[in-house]
Amino acid sequence: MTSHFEAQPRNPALKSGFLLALLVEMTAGLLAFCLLPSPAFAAFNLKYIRPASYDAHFNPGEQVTFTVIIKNNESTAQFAEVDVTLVNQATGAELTLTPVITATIGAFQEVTLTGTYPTVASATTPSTLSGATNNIPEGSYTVTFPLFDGNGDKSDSVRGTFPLHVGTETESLRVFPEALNLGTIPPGRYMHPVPIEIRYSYFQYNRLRQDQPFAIRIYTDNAARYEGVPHALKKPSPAGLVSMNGRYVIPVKCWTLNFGPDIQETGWDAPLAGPPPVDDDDYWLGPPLLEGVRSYGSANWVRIPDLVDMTPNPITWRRLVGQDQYDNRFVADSNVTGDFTLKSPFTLYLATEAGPTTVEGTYVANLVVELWSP
Amino acid sequence: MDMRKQLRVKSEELRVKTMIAVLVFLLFTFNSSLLTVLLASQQQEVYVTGHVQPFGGYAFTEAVSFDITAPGEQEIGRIVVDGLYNGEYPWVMRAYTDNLHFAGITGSVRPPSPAGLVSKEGLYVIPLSIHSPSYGPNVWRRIPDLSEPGYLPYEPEPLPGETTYTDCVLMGIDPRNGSWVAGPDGLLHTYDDNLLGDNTVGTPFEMILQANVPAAAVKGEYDAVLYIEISPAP
Amino acid sequence: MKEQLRVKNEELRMKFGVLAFFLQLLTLNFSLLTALAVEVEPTRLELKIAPGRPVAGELQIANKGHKPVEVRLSAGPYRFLDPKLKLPSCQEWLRFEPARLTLAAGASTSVGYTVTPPANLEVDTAGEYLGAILVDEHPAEEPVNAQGERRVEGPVAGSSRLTIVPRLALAVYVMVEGKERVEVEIGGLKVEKLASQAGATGGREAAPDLLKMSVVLKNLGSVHVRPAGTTTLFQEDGHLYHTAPLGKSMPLLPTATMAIPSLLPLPPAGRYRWVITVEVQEGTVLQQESSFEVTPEGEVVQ
Repeated sequence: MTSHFEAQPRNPALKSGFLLALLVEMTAGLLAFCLLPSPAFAAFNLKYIRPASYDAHFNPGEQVTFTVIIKNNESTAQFAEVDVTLVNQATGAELTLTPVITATIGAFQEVTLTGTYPTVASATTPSTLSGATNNIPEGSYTVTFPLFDGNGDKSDSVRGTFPLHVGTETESLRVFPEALNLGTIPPGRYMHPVPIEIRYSYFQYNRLRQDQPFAIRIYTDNAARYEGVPHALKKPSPAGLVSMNGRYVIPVKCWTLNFGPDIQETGWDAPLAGPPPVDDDDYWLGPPLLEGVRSYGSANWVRIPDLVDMTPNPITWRRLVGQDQYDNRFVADSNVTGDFTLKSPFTLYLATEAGPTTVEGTYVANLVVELWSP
Repeated sequence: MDMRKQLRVKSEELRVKTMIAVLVFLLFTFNSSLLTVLLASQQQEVYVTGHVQPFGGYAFTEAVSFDITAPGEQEIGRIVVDGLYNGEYPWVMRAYTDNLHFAGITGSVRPPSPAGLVSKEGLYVIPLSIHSPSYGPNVWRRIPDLSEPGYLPYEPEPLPGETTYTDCVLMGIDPRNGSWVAGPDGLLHTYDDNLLGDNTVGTPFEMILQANVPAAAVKGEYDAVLYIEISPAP
Repeated sequence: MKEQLRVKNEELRMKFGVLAFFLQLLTLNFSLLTALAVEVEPTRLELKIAPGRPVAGELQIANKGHKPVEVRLSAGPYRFLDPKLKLPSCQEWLRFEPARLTLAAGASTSVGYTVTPPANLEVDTAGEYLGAILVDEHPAEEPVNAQGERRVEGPVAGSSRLTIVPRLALAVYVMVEGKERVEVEIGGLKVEKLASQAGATGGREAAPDLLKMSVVLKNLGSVHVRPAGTTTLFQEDGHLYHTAPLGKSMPLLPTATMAIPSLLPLPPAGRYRWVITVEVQEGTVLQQESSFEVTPEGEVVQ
């Protein structure tokens, strides 16, 4: 009997041809898979299981050690490479530290890897070095740790939470002018048009190689000069300008760029337009609240206290700039180091409000600008 | 059993205290950054000076004209105050009349006080009162005369409350005055204290004059000179 | 119909009321502001006088207003402090030259004053005499026009008029040479508790109990002094609890007793030492101290 349906070709040559074509296809596919660029998900499963650790501050000549912990989530041993990358915060130049940190990690194992690099003084400030380097010049850097597998594919990356700083410890403060004449103080609110310029530099670190908190604070020192009105039931603060006879005081407010206001909230672009107008209560007294009162703590023009008003609690001080990673008033997710510095030099404006209690006469004050660190 | 327990507890206490003492000693000895207090600060002083000129003083309405129409309380005019005075405080602004030509009704049983509006012939008097915004709403003060018997000039009281002086004080700045320093709540040493005792009113403002016309008042022309005196710190 | 009439009546009454109100405003108020602002320097006089020899000086008077003013100077009694004291007056000794003057807007001038003591000053035992200078501001008269008329400003004339005269009162102290004697004693230190009272408006927070510390100064001398000093409170262990200046003092007049109060929130329970230091004049310092206790129940025992 003859079958109508032939399951397989009877021709042996055709059969071989099919087999050959299949083989060629498979080879081509395999080659393509090997030669074409691998998609990201193709990297081996190597992961950082903890943020990288390193100290923050170093003097030139000291050694910096970076420590990372990597876990191999593959079922076979994998090669891991960590290229510690530094980006200079001043110039944007990128440095890759050599030799890179490498290791072969067993299946499902985790290892701790370290790399130590020397720091050096920089011939130029800021340093202009970029590319691969085996030492770290002076400067402040953001630190990134890209993790590559044996194929050179990036498997993971982590960024340091604080900058790496290499530099010489320094502390300096310079204020100009050293004598300021406000001239004739008119009635009402008045901003003195000539600002005080403050130049400073500060780099100190503690034994944990973390930032030493510091602040530039301002206050008057009038306790010896101010006597007040006789038999007054309550003694006002001596903060501000004191009359020559010691009886009267004119409070003084100040403004610097750190005090705002926020352009999103008020529309006032302080970096461009300078100090906000003193005649506007929203800036002088504070923004209005729904209940009809003002948020006095959010005023942009702020009072300068006297030394006798100040206690160990920083809330009683007037801090212009500074950094304190332990002060939750400044620390936030976007500002882990509690940095509220301004670039040096920065300007400070003074303003007064004169009314019936501003008795005619000549007033003086010792205004102290202090770079303070605990 | 109890004794042993007590002894054990005391022993534990002592051990803990000793440990703490040793720890503190070690920390101080090895100068840990956690306990080291190094005062590191640089200072620079700026010597600031300024001068305040007199702000010109207050200006007042020259005079008010009116007609006395009927007995009772009658507003006779308003005094507009403008300007700014910044003399030495404590100072007060007080109002009074000085009706030296008041003679009194011949044969009257008791001479009335000469304070207020005096009739043109000097025989009859209509008392005056005044309202200043510094008093608060609906508060009126009698305007005294300088020569009335028992006249007592202003003297500040350290505690908030009633006053004993005769003066009609319109406003002022006096840190010795308890009522002014106490602020709106009338209590000293609370959040709203007015440290300088500033009882001035922002200008321009109005003061209202009122005549308290008695039923026995005689119709006619009345006049007076009202002195508004500022007494700066003596 | 009656309803309509009533409504019309109401309307008319209202309109009439409004009209009357405006008419009243027109007839009464709206007199012109004088813009009078006379400044005088100095704001007090402290003079030394020898019997039989007058003393002269000058006051600087400036018109800071926008209109000319007539300034009238006169002498008055001292009414600044201690009204119950019967202190001798120098009101009759003061003379001014000129006693009346007209100052143009923005102008300033000096006015001479003379203090002429009486001939029998030597036999009087008083060491100091007090008075006041009263500086009154009046609007300067408008000049007469070609028709001989004077333009009268001010409100529409009614039958009665109240003239307002701004006045500055300046204190005058005249000390007699050879009779000045400075002697002040601390009359006593008194400490008491003032219990908190409900405020007039019922304040937001409870008022604390207060500690009132009064120092009494007696002037046994013949001239006024301006004592300054400090009041200091120490805790039992010697730590400083509170200190405050007494301020450059108001004048302590002869024979006057001045009680200088200090008020502060009641301190915690314990014993306290209170020290008063008073500088009567340069080089003369008085000091006195007192102790008191604040009991756990909040009472003060001196």
